[in-house]
Amino acid sequence: MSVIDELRAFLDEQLPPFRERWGDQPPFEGRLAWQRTMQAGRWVAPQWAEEHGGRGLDVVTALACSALLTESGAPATAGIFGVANVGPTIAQWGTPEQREHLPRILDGSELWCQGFSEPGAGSDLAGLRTRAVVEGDELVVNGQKIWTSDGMRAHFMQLLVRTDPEAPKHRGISALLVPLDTPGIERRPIRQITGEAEFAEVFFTDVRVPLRNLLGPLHKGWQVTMTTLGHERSGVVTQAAIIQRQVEQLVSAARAADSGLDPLLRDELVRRYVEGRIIGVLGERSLASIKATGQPGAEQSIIKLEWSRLSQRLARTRLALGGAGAVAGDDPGAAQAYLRSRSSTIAGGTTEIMKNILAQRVLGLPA
Amino acid sequence: MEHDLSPEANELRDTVRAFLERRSPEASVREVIESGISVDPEVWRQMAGQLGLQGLLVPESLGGQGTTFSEMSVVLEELGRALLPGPFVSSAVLAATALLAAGEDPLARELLGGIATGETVAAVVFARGLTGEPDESTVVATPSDGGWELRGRVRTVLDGGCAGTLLVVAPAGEGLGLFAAEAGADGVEVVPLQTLDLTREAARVEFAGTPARRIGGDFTDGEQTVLAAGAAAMAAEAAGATQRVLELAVEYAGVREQFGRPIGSFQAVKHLCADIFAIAESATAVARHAARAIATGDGSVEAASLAKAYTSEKCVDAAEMAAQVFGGIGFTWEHPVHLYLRRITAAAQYFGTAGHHRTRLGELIGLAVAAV
Repeated sequence: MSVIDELRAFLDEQLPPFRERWGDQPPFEGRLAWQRTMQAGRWVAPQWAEEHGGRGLDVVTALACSALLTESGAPATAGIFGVANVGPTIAQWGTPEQREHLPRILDGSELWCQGFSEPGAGSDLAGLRTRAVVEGDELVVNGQKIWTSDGMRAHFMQLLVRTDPEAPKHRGISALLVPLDTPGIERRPIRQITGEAEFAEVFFTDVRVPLRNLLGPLHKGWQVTMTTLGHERSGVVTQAAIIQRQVEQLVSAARAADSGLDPLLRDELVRRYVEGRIIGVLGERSLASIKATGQPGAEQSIIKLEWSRLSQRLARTRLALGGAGAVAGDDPGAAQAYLRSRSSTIAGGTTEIMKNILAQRVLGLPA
Repeated sequence: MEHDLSPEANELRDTVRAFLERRSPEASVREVIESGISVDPEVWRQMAGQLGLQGLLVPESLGGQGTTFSEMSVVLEELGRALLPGPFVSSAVLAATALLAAGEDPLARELLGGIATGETVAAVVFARGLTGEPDESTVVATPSDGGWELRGRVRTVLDGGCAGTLLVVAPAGEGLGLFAAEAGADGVEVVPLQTLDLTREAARVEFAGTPARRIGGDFTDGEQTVLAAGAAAMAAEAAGATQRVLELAVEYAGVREQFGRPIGSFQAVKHLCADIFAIAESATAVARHAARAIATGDGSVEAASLAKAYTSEKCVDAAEMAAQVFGGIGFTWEHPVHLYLRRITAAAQYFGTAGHHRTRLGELIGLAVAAV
């Protein structure tokens, strides 16, 4: 049986009872339960090494698994920041002791967040000022992080701190692995425009972290973090498939409304369909490049850029399709999704920063 | 090496690019434009004789290359990139596709052989779908003396002025027929039009009892096939042209200095270039997707509409943004950006605007419009 057939059989067996218990829009606890179920079959990150809880799959097969998961409508991974971001960084840079986190990241028993942004370091992330000073075999951390995704529920944080204030800003940063129950850490939820709180502010006051929790070499935290971003680039193929599916779901919903659409609204929806398909064909192009070279081509930077714009437009079109009922009615789903989508051109690098990076790194324009 | 193309298509692209850079640089393109001839005959001969480009879609048994639309699409990207003037799309893409779609016919075989050698230059006279105007064509075919004759006028025929053979799509009794007429025959009047795109001529054509030979049987399906090929061809050319305006804009932004720095160091200019890049790559990906669909016959109408819906709007945006990067120099006759703007904007109009194709896609994906 091929790996894909095995996954298909797994999903056929596990998804129906899960849906019966949790429905189509599972809350976080449901997604966490799903992650445990998935990991029982070692499916959460099948591209990871077997010793870390993966299956050691090549990137192309792993992407085929992702495609099947997208197609099946399986819930998103609960501990996504650990699985997608922190885990691969630990796998590459971590000590044997640090790598013991990896199986626990996969089965959801450890939830991770990333302490990157600060009040004074948003787009200029490398300008971060949270300080860590070496004292004996410890680092003493003082400062503040903000916009930490999953910051309230996480157990651990990959924390970027300034360890050498004299060095050029990219060369004085270190990465630390910090248990969030360490004394001196205070967390506060950030109430966002949807009324929910998916992010946290995290304050560090004389927080003592053992030196052995340093991830990668001292002062190399920027490189440690950036090389991992490179590893994650193949994720755009999955991202492209997911947004195309979201567009198709909206089209299906509009098709089901039997009264027909206002012509202008239909045109707006077809625009989203075209944009979704464009990201889809760019994803196919990335996949062809990954198959040939192991890496996506320049189109991966465009997928990220266009994804952020389309997810906003899509949410706006969904709101428009809902008409007055979407702004004053019984189901706030479309309105909440619209508000939430405003973050997609800000979080993880603003659209403007992405364009700067694209112009400089891909097109070679001067800084 | 581009990994979404076969090794053969990569090689073909390199060959065609090198050929056009050598034989049809911008200065030569301008000579063709200024002299009023629509094509450089020597370049045309070499394209057919040395590279076999006019015969890419023609079966090997008829003297062609027998390749698929995927290879053709890559060539079209290069023609758009190089602004090659002439009736290549009309003859090698549209006429060849029409003749192949018409089915087994001795005359079709003969014409396809001539197209492959470049000696026959054919243009397709559409009944509808090129401009989308309600009165695009009034031509009808009626039986006459064991053959057929054509009457009526067509407002726009691409390459109608330089084609020797006109392949006319026209109602013929019940259904639609494909007819071959000589451009120089009695009762054919060809009036050149002023075209926005200086590298692609067009004419108004009037038939007053012109003798014609029918090719194949009912052409209703054939018409859809040719229109899809036309949309995909325009998309591929626009994609190639957009890739080139991107290169020109980025190059200029890197060297042009104002306020003591290259203008490409300013975010406003960087963002224009990044947006053009996103469009150029997206247009290329979607044009190749359409070409693959045509090559395999799987979802070709939808894929061609998708490619045209995107490129007809976005490649025009990209050409305009590029012109903005060039500032004043881009507004001069001598600078090439207007030649690209012209070609891309005209291509956006032919074979369906973005709006036309969005309406079509809306129908194809089953989105009904409310009854008024």
